[in-house]
Amino acid sequence: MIPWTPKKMTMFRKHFFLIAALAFVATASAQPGAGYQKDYSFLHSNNLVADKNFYLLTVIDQTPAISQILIADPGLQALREKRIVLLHALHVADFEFSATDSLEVANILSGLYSRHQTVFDQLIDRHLRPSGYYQRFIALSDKDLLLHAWGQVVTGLNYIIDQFGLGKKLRYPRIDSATFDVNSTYFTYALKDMSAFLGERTDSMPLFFHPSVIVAMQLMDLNLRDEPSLFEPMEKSENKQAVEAIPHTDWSKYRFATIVIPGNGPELTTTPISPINKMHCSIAAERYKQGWAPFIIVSGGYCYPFRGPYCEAIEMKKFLMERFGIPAAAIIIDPHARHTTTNIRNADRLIIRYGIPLDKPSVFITTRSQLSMSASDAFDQRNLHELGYLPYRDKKLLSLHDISFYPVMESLHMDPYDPLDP
Amino acid sequence: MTLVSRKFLLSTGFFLLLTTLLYSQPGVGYQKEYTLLRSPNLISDKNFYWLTVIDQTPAVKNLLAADATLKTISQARLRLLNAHVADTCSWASSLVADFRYTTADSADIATALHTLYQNNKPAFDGLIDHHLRPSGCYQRFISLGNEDFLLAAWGQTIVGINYIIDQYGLGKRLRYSRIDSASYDVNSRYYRTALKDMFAYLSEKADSMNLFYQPSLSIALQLMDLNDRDEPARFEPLESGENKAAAAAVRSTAWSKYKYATIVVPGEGPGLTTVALDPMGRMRCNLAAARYRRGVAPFIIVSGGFVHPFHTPYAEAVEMKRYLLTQGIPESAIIIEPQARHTTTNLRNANRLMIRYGIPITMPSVIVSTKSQTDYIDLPQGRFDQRNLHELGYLPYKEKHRVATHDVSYYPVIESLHMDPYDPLDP
Repeated sequence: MIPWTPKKMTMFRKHFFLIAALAFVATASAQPGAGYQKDYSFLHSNNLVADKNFYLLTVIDQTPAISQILIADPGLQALREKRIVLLHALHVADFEFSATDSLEVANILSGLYSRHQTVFDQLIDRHLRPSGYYQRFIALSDKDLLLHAWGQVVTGLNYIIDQFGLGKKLRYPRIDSATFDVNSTYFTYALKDMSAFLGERTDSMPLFFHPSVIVAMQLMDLNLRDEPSLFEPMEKSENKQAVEAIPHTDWSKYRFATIVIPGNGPELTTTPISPINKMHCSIAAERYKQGWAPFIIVSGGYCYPFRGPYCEAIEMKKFLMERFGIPAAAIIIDPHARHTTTNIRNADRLIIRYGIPLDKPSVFITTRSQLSMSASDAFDQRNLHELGYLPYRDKKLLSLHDISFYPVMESLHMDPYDPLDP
Repeated sequence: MTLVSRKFLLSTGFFLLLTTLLYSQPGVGYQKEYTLLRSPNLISDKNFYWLTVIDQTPAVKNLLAADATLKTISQARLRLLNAHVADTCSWASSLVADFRYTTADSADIATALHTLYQNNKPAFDGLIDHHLRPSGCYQRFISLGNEDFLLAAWGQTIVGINYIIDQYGLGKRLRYSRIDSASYDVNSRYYRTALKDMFAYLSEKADSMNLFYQPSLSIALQLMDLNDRDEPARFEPLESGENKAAAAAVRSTAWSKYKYATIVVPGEGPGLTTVALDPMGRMRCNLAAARYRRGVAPFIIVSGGFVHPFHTPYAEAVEMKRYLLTQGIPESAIIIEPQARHTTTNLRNANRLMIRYGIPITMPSVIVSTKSQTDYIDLPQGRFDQRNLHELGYLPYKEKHRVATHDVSYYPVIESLHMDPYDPLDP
């Protein structure tokens, strides 16, 4: 019952000093339920891979009020000290958060939240909620949202360390696993060097999560896994023309908002775009020319073959432009998705963030062999298993090559089980 | 003077009058002024030029579409195409083999074409005289009468379509299989999936395939596409792209100043995927550059496509040009020929560019290469001749003569223009 007092005071102060401008924030967004806001601008550290995987931590790092509270906490400091010492004899497994560690942090955070509710609420209401990164948690209270966000950090950190440090074969090991044999002489040397390298910069790790995050990021870097940051910021580069065209689009002229092409990865290192993918693109180009939709979203990252040199979305865009003369302004790339589930999820994200209407269906292009994969109930099950939700609603099979669907807001949620495309 | 007077004759219409008189006669072939027709698919145009012409000649197209025999043949193939969308066939042999032309199919079609020709001579003669003969694509058939010409063109089409289906659909090892074959094991799971998808994909456009050859042609072209075999279309149109400066320079060249019209440099494919220009290729470029600087010829034709190793990312001609530019050879003196895959076609394709760009073939050209290759071109007992006769059916040169260790002079021949159905990557 104590915590509500400071909160009430805060609200009072806001109303009192900042009057109308912040009234909306204080009343509307501090409520469970408030989520993604289109006009929110992301905070960025100098590491976009970290921002996309651990947005909570990026925001904490850039919110001095919170950082100081966390640094001042003796429990968290003890956790930090222990890990800093471990850095000198790097054994990557030690940087994971065990259930005990994680629970301890959660308890401390919970206590800190209660004692400093105002600053925590600001962090949550002004950043975590409107960012969309935690969209599946928006029904929770601020405190629960914070603890859930921490839970995701633990999952993500442990996943990265397992996959890229310990060489565990996790989801989609054929394309997502460690680049090197983690027990090879080469990688052992690299890890030792990494330990010395990070040992030199412990001063830049004042917060309890820093040692683990830095180890995790360094492990991704050792494995050349910078996929999440590639081609960003897309809205200012590859997608610039399309983003500029969106506000001038007369949506009423079209049956669908977008045509989504899921990439199909090549089998061979020498093939920029696979035969099945060329068919996907050809089908989409025909639909586009018939005026089905004003935009084509090409979706797919650097996936097949393992560490192949070609990014599906980039090659699809090139192919659509060269073979069919589709204008660049009609093509939106999603160069990150690695699976059919995330092809749709990422298309949703771009539709939402670029301001494409959500009340209009989009059409997902398949070929016959992919159809059963994306149209069946098994695909629903796969999404529920991998993402925890369906990244579409009202999915409808139109023909052998077309499935219509509506995007859902949950797609914005960050997925800690897919560090290459969170 | 010569150039001016030739232009004068042309502009006065004398030339047109002459050709009109000669049209319809056996013997009339390539005309420089003829502009090749283009469909959206250049690979198809290059392999099956007469089908491109038919497609753009409504008079003939309607005749073929209305013919009962031809209709039966096309409908049977369309039924098969549509059936494969949902049937249980899943191996290459059961999916694509029936789209080949058997001897019996081929004879049926030839008979139907014969009757159609006899009943509609003006329409077919127009197509042959105004397109097929002057295009040069059927230059080896020009001594035939028009009906035989038509049937010979059909014969080549069968060879070409069957060759493509054999090579890229059934995975047969045909000529130069190390570099020209299918990109995939055609019985691999992946390729079988792609093949099955191909039928669903093509079936969506089956309604537009109402000419007898269209089902098989679209299968053949789609098979090439599945294998990323778009080599014939790469870098085209050359004359307004990579060869623009040189093609313009040809028109203002004073040929009498030179011993040879061109220096032809056949490329050498690198042994490694990571090597752009093979060391022997570089030696050949250096030899050619030295001769160019001595004023032997006003142009260097560098010839060679994406060949070795299998699916290499580098085209020999492009890499040779890049290197020659670093050696100070002006861009306007370099003609690239980025499609040849063999020594035979290095020469054939160089000839084609000379003829089409207006370089005199009454002047000799000189092949400049490293010793291993000039030795090969100059093999005793006409063994290089035999290879050309075996693979092309003719010699793409005359008066071939070894001038020095690295130099072989020759005169180009106009038969080189003829389209070769046995080399779908460079027809």
